Amino acid sequence: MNRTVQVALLTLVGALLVRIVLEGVHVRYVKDWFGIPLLITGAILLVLAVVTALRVAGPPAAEGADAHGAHDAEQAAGHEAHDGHDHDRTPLTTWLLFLPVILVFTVSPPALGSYLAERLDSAPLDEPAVVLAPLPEGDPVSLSVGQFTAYAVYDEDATMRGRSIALEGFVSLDEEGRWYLTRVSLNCCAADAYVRKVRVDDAAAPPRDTWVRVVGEWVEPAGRAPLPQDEPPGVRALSVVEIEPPASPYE
Amino acid sequence: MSVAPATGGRTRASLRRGAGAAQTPLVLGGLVALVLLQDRIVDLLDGRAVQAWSTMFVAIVVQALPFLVGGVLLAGLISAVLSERILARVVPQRTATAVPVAGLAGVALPGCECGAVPITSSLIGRGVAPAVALTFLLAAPAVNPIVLVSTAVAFPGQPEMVGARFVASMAVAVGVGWLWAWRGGRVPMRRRDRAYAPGSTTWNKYTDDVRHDLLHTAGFLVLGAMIAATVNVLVPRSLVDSVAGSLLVSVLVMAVLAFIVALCSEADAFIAASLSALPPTAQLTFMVVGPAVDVKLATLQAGTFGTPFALRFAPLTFAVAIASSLVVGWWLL
Repeated sequence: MNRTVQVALLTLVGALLVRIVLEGVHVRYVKDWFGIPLLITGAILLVLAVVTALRVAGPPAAEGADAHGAHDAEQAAGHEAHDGHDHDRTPLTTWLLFLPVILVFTVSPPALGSYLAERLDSAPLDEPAVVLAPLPEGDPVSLSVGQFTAYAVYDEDATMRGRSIALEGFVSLDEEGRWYLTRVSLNCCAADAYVRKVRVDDAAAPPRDTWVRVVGEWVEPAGRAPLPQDEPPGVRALSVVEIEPPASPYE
Repeated sequence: MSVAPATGGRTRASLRRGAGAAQTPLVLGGLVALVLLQDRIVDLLDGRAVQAWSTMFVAIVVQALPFLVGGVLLAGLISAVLSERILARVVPQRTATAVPVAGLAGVALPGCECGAVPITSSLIGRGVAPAVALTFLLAAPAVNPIVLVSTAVAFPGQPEMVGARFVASMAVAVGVGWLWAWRGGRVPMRRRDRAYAPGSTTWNKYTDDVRHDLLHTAGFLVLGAMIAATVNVLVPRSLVDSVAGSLLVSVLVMAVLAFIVALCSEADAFIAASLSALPPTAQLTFMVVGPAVDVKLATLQAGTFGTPFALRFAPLTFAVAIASSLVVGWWLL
């Protein structure tokens, strides 16, 4: 890989990092706050590319053919055991760096959706450290899928009973023909994502990955103890409305 | 470092030069084909599995790059600023004593495993004994404060898990360091041996080092990310729950899983905690093996220190990490 290609590669990777943050699509891959380290890293790579480019174009005395000729002669004499000797030689794997660039600039991989959600069970929920506050005011009251699950599992007073609740998420299915309002959450990046689902009853399933707002009532399980941990809580739909996917896809 | 036999050396050198000469046109040709066939490729990538794969792949690369770049910048500084004289004063003379000191240094320096590899390489380049530098490599990502705090957050009400993680990971770092001091001397290890163009300024040397290290290691990171994303998409997590019954099987499965899914050490505690069906010792194994050795680290190490090194170091670390987790898990959990 010669210097010119190295400069191109550094520029592209730097531009990739800066671009996904400026377009706001980095939240598909990592946590929102990680945009700042990404911007800084992208800027460093761009500076490195400029510095290298200036030196490629610079006076030959600094990077001249003499130095390279000396390297070649040395290698021919059998000193090639010193790897990493020549700053212009890179392993073949370096070319792989073009792959994320190509992917992001052509297909722009979307946020994780139903494919992952249908392969994973709803993540278990830790018992909240504090007693849950009574359900907030509002009709319908808007909850995140995580909040809804927490109230469904851990609210001793069942304050969701009889309330109208609004949830937003995308559609995933299961083998038995049920459908779920689903949210993905990240610990760190999209490779360690986990999902939470709410089963939606009494409404036809929209196509997979459609974002919907469901207003409905909590389906209280018949026996409350032992609390069903791996079974997603359910909601009886009163209305299902298609919505725009949110800018920040993860909960 | 020994000089290769003249004939063998010459053949390999010319072979490599041949491959190097073909590299640029080959890959540029590939790029042109990509651009021309873009629509076809976009169709191909439309499958849901491929989409999930590319999202996870890009996510791992994007998540790790800032840590790798930070590590490379710091490694360049170590090369440029820390002289052999200063290091000789800080690092104890006897390797056996220096190994635990390096382990403790790892606690103080929060680093990601990707960043630790170039730093280790530059420490060795500055004359630190490999056993000592490798102890630092194993300790820095595994026992730093950020990782311990995230473990405490992931296992609320189980402080013994944080303690067990610290003890087990430290035992791996120091244990492997001592083993390496005892037996590792004959393992071929690629050294940084730099020739700078005459008249280079310090700034030029620094940027040369940074660019060189970055381009050498980043490709291996991408390779590791490809493997990890593939496993994430192909292996269902329910498979993990099905082995929960047996302690030994679940420990081995979690060790292998930690190796191939290659999470960052800041995140692995949350994953381990989410696999709550498993015995605690198996969860501990996942968190001890992951930062010490995984597929992206092994490929990074192969790229930095050479394949013969990685072929010995990775299995050794893997075995010591499992043993340490079993003993500490039996003792503390």
